[in-house]
Amino acid sequence: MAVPVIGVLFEPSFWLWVAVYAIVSLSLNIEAGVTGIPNFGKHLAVLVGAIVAAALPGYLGLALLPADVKQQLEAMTGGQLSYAGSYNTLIADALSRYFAEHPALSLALFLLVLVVAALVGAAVGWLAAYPAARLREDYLAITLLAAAEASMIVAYNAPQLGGTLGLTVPNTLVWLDNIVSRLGVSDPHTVSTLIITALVAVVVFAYLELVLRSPMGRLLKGVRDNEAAAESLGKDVTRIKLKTLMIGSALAAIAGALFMTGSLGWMATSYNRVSWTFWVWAMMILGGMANNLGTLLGTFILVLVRQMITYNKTLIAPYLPFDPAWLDYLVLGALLVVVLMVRPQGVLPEKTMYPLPRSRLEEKAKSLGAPASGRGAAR
Amino acid sequence: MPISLVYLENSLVYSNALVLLAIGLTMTYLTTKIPNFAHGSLAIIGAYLLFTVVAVYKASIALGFLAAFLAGAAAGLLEYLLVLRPLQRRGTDALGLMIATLGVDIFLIGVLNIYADIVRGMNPVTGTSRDWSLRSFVLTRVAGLTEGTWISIGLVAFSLIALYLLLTRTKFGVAMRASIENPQLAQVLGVNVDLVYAVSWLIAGGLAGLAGGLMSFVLRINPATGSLEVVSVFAASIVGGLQSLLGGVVGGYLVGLSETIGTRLLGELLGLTGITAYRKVVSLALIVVVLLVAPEGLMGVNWRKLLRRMRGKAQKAEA
Repeated sequence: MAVPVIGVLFEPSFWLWVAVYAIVSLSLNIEAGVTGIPNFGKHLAVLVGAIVAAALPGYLGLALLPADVKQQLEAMTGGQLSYAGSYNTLIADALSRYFAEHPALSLALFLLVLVVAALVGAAVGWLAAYPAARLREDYLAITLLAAAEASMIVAYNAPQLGGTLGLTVPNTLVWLDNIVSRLGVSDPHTVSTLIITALVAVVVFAYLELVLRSPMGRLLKGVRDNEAAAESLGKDVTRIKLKTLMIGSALAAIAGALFMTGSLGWMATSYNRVSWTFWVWAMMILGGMANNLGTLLGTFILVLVRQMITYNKTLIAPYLPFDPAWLDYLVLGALLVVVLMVRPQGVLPEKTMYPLPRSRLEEKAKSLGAPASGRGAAR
Repeated sequence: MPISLVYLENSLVYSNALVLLAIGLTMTYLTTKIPNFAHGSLAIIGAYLLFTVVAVYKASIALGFLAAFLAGAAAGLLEYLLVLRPLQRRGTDALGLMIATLGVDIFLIGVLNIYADIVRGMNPVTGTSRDWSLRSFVLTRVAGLTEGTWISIGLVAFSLIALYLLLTRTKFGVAMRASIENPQLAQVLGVNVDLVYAVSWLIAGGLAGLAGGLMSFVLRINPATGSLEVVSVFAASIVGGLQSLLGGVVGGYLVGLSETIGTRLLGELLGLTGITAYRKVVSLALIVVVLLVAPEGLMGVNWRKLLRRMRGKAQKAEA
């Protein structure tokens, strides 16, 4: 069984999973790990981002088509020209072909999708949290979870998104696919999605790391550790929580949009609680809450575990009276509880962040006439 | 289109199930101070036990509900004893405990899925172990109402009376109320708080099991049903205020009826089809409104004071 384990590391699809989950788990880390907001509706933001990526290229792309191309399409569909209708696959293919001929348009649409996804994600994050942001954390957790579940059911039944059948979505990344395929890659679309997603993940990591080291980061930790103290120092705790959720949701929505663009097929049930809330929480807790590097490590480990289960499914299936996919659930559920019991701080525990480098702090302490600092004296 | 008797009966059965779930959720909330996110899946465990007894072994429904109660109770008790109590002893904070119940929920969904796969091989009468309903088993009309409706009314009445007698008329019930109100003081006075909490989880799990059985009369059940229905259960408990068992009863009926009859009326008013999609939105809306207007829930509102103030305003307006 060693072969699939090593083999998986050379698959671009594996690294695409890692990159997408890295963005989502890092965004959860700033909300839950650093600020202490129990966002049990993480899949709401991912879902919203994916909806934007599924709807916008189709509807806007169709509206932007020149009249002659439209007429050609209408001739094929018998006058029907609705993106989510029964000719969805045909229209999506035609749009993809048109985008391939006009790379600038597809690039513009792709960037627009990311921007709109981030904005809508931030708005939804604020809306879902607003009713309970003032209340105790358990109310907030319940409200966020309820909002996410209700939204998913509505999205699953929405005729504008193809209802329970889902949608085929035109490819807005075709401009990069063309460049990548010239390099002789076998699966250009996955690779080009991976390139963009990895770039975004790196930027997100750098940004959140900077936030964590800044005075803002210390404020967020202060909100988590002692709300009353933060409030007594004049900080508006509710507003800080809402802002953090907006940033976290915007980032998760971008990840959802990228994932959707990578898969090119919309299905509301793909953005469920297990995949985009439970797994993400497990990644963050296993890696270490409030530690971005730890969160990345947890993400890598759990994506690997999940891929290994998927790869080895067919090997163990004959020995089980049930579908081995459910082992996923048992492993994940047990893992969450066991980590909480055995190592609640995670693989890489939270580090104390000093406002200045350690040596400068010691210098300052010396100049203030503090006793000569040995190891630990400056703490 | 007027709402038919069958529709009313279904919404009553659903509301009764929600009442049992909301009471259980409130009970566990009072003991551990965190919402149990696995409560919906406890109900579906009960539903699958009822399914096994009735559809696979073709035994009586009464026996099925007994099995459902016992299975739900066992699952609830184990969740508390194996997961939540050890974590509480380690000093895990509320966030950690909530995540732990999420972990239990997903574990239970996995177990239910595996169980559904195994049961499929036992050739149940309904033909499927995923997406099934026991509706056709309880359609005989007795005195105007279906059997299922009578069963749900009977179960809720029995559970409420039993719970009321336990809490007010027995020494154990008084100890239970004391340890919920003030655990330290109760412990000093010799109450075994650990035992009391364990029994609360046992009862809550059992009631959830019964409720899951009732849900299978009106909903299509699959292993993931619980993780969706938990939204309505939370809505019911929050509307009631999360602090009082009576609140769970009121909230259960309010949420259950507005989710069924309310959604239907709303759908007709707005001309929308496919109303099932909007049921959970109604629950979400109830949560939002209650949290914005009266976060302590209906039971937390001082109705007498509110009434007096409204009357005062009305008099001022007249003057």
